[in-house]
Amino acid sequence: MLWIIFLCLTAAVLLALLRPLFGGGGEEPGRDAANAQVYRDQLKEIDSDRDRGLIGEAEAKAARLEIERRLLATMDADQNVAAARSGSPVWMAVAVAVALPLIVLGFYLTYGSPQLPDQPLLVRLQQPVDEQNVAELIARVEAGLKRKPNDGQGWAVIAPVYISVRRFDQGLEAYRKAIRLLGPRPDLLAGYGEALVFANDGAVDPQAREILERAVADDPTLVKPRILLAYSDEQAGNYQRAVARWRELKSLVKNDERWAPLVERRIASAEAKLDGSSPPKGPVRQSAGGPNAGDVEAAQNMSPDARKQMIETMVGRLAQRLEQNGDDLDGWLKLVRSYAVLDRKDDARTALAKAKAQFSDQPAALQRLNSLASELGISS
Amino acid sequence: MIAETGHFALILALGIAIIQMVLPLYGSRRDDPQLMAVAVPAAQAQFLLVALAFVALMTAYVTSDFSILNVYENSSSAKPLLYKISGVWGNHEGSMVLWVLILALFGAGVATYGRNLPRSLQANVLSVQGAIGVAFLLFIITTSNPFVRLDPAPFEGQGFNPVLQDPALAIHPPFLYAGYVGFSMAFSFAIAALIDGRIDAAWARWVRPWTLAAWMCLTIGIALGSWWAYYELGWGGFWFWDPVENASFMPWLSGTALLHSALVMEKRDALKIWTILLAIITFSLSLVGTFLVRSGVLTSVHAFAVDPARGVFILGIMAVFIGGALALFAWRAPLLRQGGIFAPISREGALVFNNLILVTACAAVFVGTLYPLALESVSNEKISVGPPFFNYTFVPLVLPLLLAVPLGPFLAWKRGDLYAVAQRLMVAAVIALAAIVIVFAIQGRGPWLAPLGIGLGVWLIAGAASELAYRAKLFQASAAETWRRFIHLPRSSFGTALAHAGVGLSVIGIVATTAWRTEDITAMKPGETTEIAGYRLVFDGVSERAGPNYDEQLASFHVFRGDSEITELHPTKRQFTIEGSATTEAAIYNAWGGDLYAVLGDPLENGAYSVRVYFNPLVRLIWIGAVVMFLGGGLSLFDRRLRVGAPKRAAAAQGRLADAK
Amino acid sequence: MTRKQRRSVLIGGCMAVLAVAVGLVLFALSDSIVFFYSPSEVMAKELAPGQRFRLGGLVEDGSVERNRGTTVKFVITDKAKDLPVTYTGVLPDLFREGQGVVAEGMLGPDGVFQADKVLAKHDENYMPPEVAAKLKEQGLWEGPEQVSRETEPSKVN
Repeated sequence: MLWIIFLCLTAAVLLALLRPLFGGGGEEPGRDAANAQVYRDQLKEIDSDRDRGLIGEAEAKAARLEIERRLLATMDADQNVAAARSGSPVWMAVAVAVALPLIVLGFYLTYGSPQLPDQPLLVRLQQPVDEQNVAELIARVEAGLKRKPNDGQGWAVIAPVYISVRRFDQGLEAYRKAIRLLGPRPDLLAGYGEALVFANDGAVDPQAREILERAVADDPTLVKPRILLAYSDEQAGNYQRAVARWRELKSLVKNDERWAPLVERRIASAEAKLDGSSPPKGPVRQSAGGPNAGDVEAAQNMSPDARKQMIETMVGRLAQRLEQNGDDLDGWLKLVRSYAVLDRKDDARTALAKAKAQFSDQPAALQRLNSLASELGISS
Repeated sequence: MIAETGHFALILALGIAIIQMVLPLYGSRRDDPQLMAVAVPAAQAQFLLVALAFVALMTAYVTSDFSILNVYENSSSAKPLLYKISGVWGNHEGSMVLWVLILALFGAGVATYGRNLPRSLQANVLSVQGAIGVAFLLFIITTSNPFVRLDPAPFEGQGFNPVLQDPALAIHPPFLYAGYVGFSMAFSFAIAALIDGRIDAAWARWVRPWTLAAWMCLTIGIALGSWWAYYELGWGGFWFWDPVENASFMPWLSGTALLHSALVMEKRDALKIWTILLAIITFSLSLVGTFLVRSGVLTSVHAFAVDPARGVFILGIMAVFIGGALALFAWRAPLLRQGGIFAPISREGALVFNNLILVTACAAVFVGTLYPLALESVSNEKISVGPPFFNYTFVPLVLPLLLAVPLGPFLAWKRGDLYAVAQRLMVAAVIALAAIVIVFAIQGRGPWLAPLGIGLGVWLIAGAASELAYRAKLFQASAAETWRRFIHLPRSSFGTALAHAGVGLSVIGIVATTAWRTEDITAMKPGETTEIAGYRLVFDGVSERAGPNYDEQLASFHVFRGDSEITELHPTKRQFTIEGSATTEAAIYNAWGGDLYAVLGDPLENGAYSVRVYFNPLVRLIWIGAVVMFLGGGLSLFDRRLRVGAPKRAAAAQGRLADAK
Repeated sequence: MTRKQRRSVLIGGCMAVLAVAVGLVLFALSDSIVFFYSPSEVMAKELAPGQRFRLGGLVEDGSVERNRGTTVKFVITDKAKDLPVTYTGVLPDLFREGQGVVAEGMLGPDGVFQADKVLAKHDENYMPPEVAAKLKEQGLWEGPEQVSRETEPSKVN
């Protein structure tokens, strides 16, 4: 449609421009004829002025004399008005017809954005929200916040959205602003702590821990911070406390289908760890399968050789699992990182390449892989 | 789709402008009528396309399409409709589109109404117009493109500078640009004449109305800007000799000169070369004005150097057009035939005097405006050239001109008689002297020069009236004859008289408000009273109020004269939330003899506010005078008669003198 | 008069007007231009009281006193030297502590700058150009992008 409009505009313009090139010669007055006409008009004007009594007879005469002199001068000048030369400049017309669209197209393709539709505000606001992408939603809230930077509720709304699109820095900033403006509400603290954990690649650092604890203390019904705290206890190898936390959670989420199965499994797994036996096999999907903090802590108590061996075993297990089921981005990221840490650069590169092949159709995943690669200084 | 169509139309207009620049000029060199004829549809199509682009941009503003960067940066959905529309030209990119739109409109005018022009003159004129169009369209598209898109589009814009959200400023730029760009017609005709090496009889006949129209628009544009500064900036001043103001004032001065010299050329076929040079200078000053305002060079020479793309581009445009035109002038002007001769004391002589003064005064303003820039770029020394500079230079220079204005229309063409003119102006002189004496007697305080200034203004008005009276033979013929002559006077005579009287009105306004303004700055608590110029203002306090896109503190004053309450004044301070800035809105009461002008200042301790009150005597005459000048120009413009100056022979002049006695 | 005489009258007149104009411009330039100084330059040049100039810098934090009616006292600083200023009148909308400002006036005998004009333009991020340039020279200010609404005055240090 757009290009049809462009085409029509260009065609109409070319038609208008080129018509004179094929039109007949000029019927317009020659130069001297035009000048003479002006002088004749002036003479008439003097006569009518004199008749109306605006200028005296003597003045009129003097003026007539002067104008007649000029009129005569044009008569004296080159009499033969050059006959209209119709060189029929076909090549000129062709040149214009070719050059104009080319120039215009060149400029338009450089500066124009033909792919973008109009977006009048009224129409956009009438669209149902779920049809709009998250970026638009964010933009909408951002615009509102620009106007009212002290709108704490706005910051509270946008913060989790930022986290969900992995814009962690902005998410953290939004939580901080919301907390400053609305006070340390437990839900905000919980969200903030969660965001800190995500931003930190899933590790619960002391700061996040403290914030999560505070959220739970203020509002014991919050589920997510408890889950995170329990995981972090597991990560730290403190299975006893982890089990205690999971049990508390169990009573909290008894009727919540989203969480109950997870909590059941974690209890089983943590109890198993506590008993020293291996966790039950089954469809347990670890959030980030691989050497977890508990394993690492265990490894620290071994001799260097044994530790290395243990780590290699675990890495091998991870690699094996990913061979069978490659649809686990975090797993791949962890594997690549582990290889790099173990100084097995070639394996890291190979794993990276495999992961990239696996996620070749997911730009976001590829981006993460690439940024990891550049962080580790390897390239595939 | 609308936005992209507008963008495409703008680019297509550039393509057409290129063709309009090349083909007709080539055609006129080869004397090929078909190539020259391309100029007409090209100019018309160029106008239609730029108009299409402009309408597209305006649509985007009205519908708040924030997918366009320019709309996002300069508009907001909360803005009233008027300012959504005026927001189109309230920013750099949009204002340049308006600039080019007006340029294309004038080009289309010459194409459509210029069929009786000699063909090669029309072709050359349109070719030069096309060249200007190419330069500015390229400038817009490459450095100041208003159609740059945003994806994803934000949901709210950044708003529009609050001080610009004002009715006067909404229409100020279109007038100003119509003025600037209107002078491009005179420029194009001048260049066309130089290219051809001859000046056709139709030349002045065309140049003068275009120049007049441009001059009228510029007059109103400058007046609107000054009126806006007066009530919006809250300083109560009407003219600050600010570089931005000077940028529009310089073309006005030289345009006024051009107007008068084109008159000589049209009527008497004299001063041709000078008129051509003046046409070039005037448009050059318009370009200089555009450069000063648009390049950021005024903010700082350094700011200009930091982001030089735009500035350098306009500088390039200036160099090409001004340098090229002057070079062409130096090369071709000697070919032009010299016009008629005249005595120093004659209408022509008077108009030369007018030109000389105006151009000199313009040069003084030019020096004052550009000297700080030049000094800063050369020596890094920062100075400001403020009002004192212009008061020392501009004012003494124009005074003799103002004194001489009433003489001009009385002088005969070719050779005049100063003594006879003086006699005819006797009445006006007496009235002016009487005004001086009366003002001197009643002025309680104030500078002794002020009565003389008022007398000068009265002299201008009375002189203009005398001319009409003389032409209508008032008191010399019967009342019926006088009336018949009066209504048959050519409209241009009324135009001249009105325009000159308008200058007089402005002079009176400027002198009165400069000399006798009173100002009072006090701290006021609610219930307190202040007095100024015989008015008593009672402060009621300040209340909060919400506007469409701002919050405001609204002060209330009851104004008394004697015991009777006259009016209430409500000066406010506004905070614009989106734009994050504040403005001060003065409250003005148009009282007899002047403006009562109140501004709310900052809150002080213990509930008091600082309040500034002015009384500006006769200040409105300044702008009324400008409107009268505009009307005079309009009357003159619609005088469709051809203009022929009937010279007086020596004998005739003697005879007329005898009549007068 | 002959053509030649007329022309010489014309040229003579032009020359006379131009000579007057040049004289006026030179006089005005020597007499009425106003230099722009920072407080440090004022101290260094030891300007005499009574000489008009523009003083530019930042309004020192906490220095604004408004307690005597409409007369405002504040201190303009370039972070090296300070200069006290008095001004009677309504300050511009954007006059703020820690923000750039230009005051025009002269030094009083007591060393206090008596301003009769205070400029701050109608733009949130606006720093009067002279001030910006001077501060940049001293490395106190980077450019418009850094002066945001949330910039605390102390960060200017």
